[in-house]
Amino acid sequence: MKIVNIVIAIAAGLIVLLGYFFNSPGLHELRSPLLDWAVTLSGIAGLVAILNLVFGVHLKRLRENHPKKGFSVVILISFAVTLIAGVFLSPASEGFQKLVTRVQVPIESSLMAVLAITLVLAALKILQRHRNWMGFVFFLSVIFFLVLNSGVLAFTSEIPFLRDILSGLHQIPVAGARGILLGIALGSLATGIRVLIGTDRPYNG
Amino acid sequence: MADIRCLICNRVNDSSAEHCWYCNTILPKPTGPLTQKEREKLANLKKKIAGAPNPDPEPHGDAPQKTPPESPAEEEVPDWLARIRRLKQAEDQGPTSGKPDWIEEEQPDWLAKLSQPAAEDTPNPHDAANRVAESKKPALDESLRIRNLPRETDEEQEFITNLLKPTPPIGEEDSANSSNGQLEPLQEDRVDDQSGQEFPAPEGPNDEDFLDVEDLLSDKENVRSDQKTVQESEQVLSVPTGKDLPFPLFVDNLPDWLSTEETETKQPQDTGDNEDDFAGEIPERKIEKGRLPAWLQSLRPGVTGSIEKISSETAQVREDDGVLAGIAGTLPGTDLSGRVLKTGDFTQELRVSAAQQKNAELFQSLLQPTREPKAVSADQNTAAPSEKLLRLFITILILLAVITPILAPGISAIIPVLFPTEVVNTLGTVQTLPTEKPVLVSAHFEAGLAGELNWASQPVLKHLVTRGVPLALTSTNVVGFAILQDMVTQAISGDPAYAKDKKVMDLGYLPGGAIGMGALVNDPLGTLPFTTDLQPVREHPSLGSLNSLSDFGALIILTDNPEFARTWVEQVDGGEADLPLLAVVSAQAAPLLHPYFASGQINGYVAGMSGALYYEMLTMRAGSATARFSAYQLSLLLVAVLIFAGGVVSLILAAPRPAKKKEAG
Amino acid sequence: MRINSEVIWLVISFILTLMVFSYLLGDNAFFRFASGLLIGVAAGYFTVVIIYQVLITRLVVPLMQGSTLTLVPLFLSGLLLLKLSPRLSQLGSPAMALLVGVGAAVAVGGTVLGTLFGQVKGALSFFDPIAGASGSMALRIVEGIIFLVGTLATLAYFHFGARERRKGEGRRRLATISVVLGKVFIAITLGAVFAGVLTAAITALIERSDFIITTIMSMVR
Repeated sequence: MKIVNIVIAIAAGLIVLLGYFFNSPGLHELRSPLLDWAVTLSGIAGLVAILNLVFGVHLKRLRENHPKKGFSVVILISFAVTLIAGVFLSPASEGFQKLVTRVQVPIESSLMAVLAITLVLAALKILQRHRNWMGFVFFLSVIFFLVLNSGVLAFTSEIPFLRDILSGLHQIPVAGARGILLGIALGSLATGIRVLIGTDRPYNG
Repeated sequence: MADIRCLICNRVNDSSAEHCWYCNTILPKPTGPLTQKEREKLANLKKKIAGAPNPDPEPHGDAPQKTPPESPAEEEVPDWLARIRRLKQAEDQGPTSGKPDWIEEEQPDWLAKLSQPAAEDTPNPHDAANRVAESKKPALDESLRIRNLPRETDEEQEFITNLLKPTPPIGEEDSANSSNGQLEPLQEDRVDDQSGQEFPAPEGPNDEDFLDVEDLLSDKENVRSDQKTVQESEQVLSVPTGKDLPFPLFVDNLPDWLSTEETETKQPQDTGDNEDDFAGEIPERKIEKGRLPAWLQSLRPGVTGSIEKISSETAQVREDDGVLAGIAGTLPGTDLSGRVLKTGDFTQELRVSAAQQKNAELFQSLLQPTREPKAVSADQNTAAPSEKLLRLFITILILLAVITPILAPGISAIIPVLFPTEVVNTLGTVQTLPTEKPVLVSAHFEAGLAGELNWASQPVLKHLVTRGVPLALTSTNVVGFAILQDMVTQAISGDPAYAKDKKVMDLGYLPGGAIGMGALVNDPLGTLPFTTDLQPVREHPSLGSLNSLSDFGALIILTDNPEFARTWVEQVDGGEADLPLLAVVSAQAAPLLHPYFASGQINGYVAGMSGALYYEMLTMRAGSATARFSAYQLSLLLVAVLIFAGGVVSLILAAPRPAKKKEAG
Repeated sequence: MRINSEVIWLVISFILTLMVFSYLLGDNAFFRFASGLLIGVAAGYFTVVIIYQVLITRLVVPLMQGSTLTLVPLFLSGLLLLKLSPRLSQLGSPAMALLVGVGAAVAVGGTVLGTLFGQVKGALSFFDPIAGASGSMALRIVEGIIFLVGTLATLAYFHFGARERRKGEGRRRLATISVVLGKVFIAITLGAVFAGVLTAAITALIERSDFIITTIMSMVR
């Protein structure tokens, strides 16, 4: 069984990967269904995760009389109401979409707003927690880019020297970001190749 | 060939035997030729046994000559059997008045003593025992010499002497025997440990002829009962003869232990407290005291031969102090004053060796994270009052900075003059888009930043709507799917000429993340075949002619996560799709998206509220970004000032700590 | 009086916003109720979208239209649903294998052609005489060198140069310099990212505050 899984993973992966480098109609014919099936399976995997959350975690809490079952009750009721409304109204209906836009958006946006104050409080203690030269550079960088984002330094546009300096300072994160992106790319490349050659088998459980 | 005496049990074995028949030990072999005297003696013995005196000694004793058998039948009979028969014959004939000469000549001392009347009184049984041992020594030495065996060392002599010492009476012997077990009768089949072969049991005497120690021990009670009637204990253990012999006894090879019984029984009654008891318990009936073979007796710890000594010692010891003060006859205690009983050092400290310490440090360095996470208290109620006050103060300040410009619109902000290149490029790209080709708008953001993205995307969407560009909406996450609809609806609300039913196609949710993006780039209509109304996309007038992603006018990414923007860029570039790529992102995604703009993979992007402001200024359409820019600017400045102040305070508070540490040190 | 549904939704949104803002005063039941409601609604909405956008549009409708190839994803989807059962979860491994294999291939292909090639090309574009024809070439080269050094130092810090080398003082010094430079660029970049996060959060706060004030003012009117 495990060998079958490995063969499926490697074969499907190689066919899709080759399609990036070779433009062949035959390869395209093989590649398209694989991508389509993978898209479908991704959706089903998300459904499995949600069902596990609802039935495997919160419903189980109700059955086991967990201390936090009140929280689970709210979740299960809201899940049931939303599911029934969605099945009857369909996702395209405006009424059903208001359930998201008028419930989920206010709550999550408010959470983000509260997070702003928490982030500011945490930022006050940057140098208290990281008292080294790297923390100091980070501290100065945060302040500079906050001021830059606010647009207060717009007056410098009329001073060429300051304008060039600010422009250069504005470009410095690009170099660092490029290095970070290259590092992420190399890491994901290594991970992907390990899966394609069968070294890593996360699907075998 | 002369018989071999076993050194362990002191019994005589046949010369051809390699193992003792009685105790199965390896018999010593004669290492050298016999001496002249030995040969003579041997020859005489043989002659006498054969019945024909032959005084002529043998010139050389290299090859001992066997006496010719009297008859052919006798040749087949083993020597030891022949001797047994002769003894029996002698017994049948009865005690001779006179002993043969050879007997008298060759009679060992122990045998001579046995035939003598009651031996002399020995005031001290210990001395008697020593005398007996000493008397046996020459005989033993003689026998050893005959056999040409190496002279034993002093230690061995002492050991043998101890073996020859008289054993305690039956009562004492029982207690000793009970601890070490009883004497086991000979086994019929012996196993040679070295060769692993089983030697056939010699056709020797039957087991019933052997001394049964168990019988002896069982007679203990009878003996003790008899002892009460005994007045004198001067009894000589007579050597049984003839039929009374319990085992085939070779007169000339009577073991020493048998001879020493005589001295044991002659112990006087008034010898003291120690040995009087067992001396007085000597039974009337001469019961041979159970004596263990020497090899077994040697296994007994400190009992053999030392009981008398211990007894004599204990009789003289009289306790002066302690619990047993005034009581004599007790075992002397060991002086423990000089012995320091030191208990182990049981400390709670873990003792590790240097190697273990090194290994532990290595493990620790491997397992230690690069940065130790600090536990954050989730429960705010447990925070210190100063922390709560600070939190409240900061909250009020920020809310004031946010609310005040909203409530007081007169507060103006510093409007930037220069516009970022990315915003300008976005404007230029949107401006040049063909109006017949739909623009694919792909959303991927969470509801938390929906407000910011809504403010950031409104100028761009309004610009597209104003130009009449068709829009195809899709989302790679579920929440973005619903919010995007709301955004577009909000953008369209300002332009009634834009027909939403014809211009906007909701392609729905695209699962799979990067896989979905790759599938969409590969085959857009195959990946999203239906709209959210379950209408086939191919039947749509605007989308029906699309075969690949390049057939779209542009791709606009709405995301708060730079990861998804990056993935879109990769898939579009990897799929070699030739279409403009624009992005409307959150302010947090801008730094990691800018390298793609710098490398030309993205045509332009609008980031956050400031980007929206720039776009609105460029399109000269005031929107939410323009209206709320003053709150945005003021709150950002306030946050910058607060962070700066916090850093300065941290540095000031941190400065005296090293001095305090030094003082403490 | 006919109550506008929009008003009802507005009131609901307002109440929920206040419930979440109550967390500023401390954890309380209102906040937890709002959190539970969020999870339930999100889970329910997700399930509905999957049913309509995946199950119906990608499995049921094609089957009804006679597509036999759809039997494969249907079968694989059934196997994947078995992952819910601990005993039968192993049967869902082939579906997971397909998903993982295709995902890895998509990631590898996009990374190589998108990020690696594109970003390396972008890093070297500063030295392209044709692209830099409009501006000062010397300035562009200086900028290019700075950005290239910054990129390499950042990359070196993450992957190669963080460990000390034993042989030779020269290599050790080079690694140390690259580590220090990399740290500087990373600190500046992460500072910019954190400033962006703060900016986004402040914007969300402004948007919510604006919503509350607008709602209150509309109710007052």
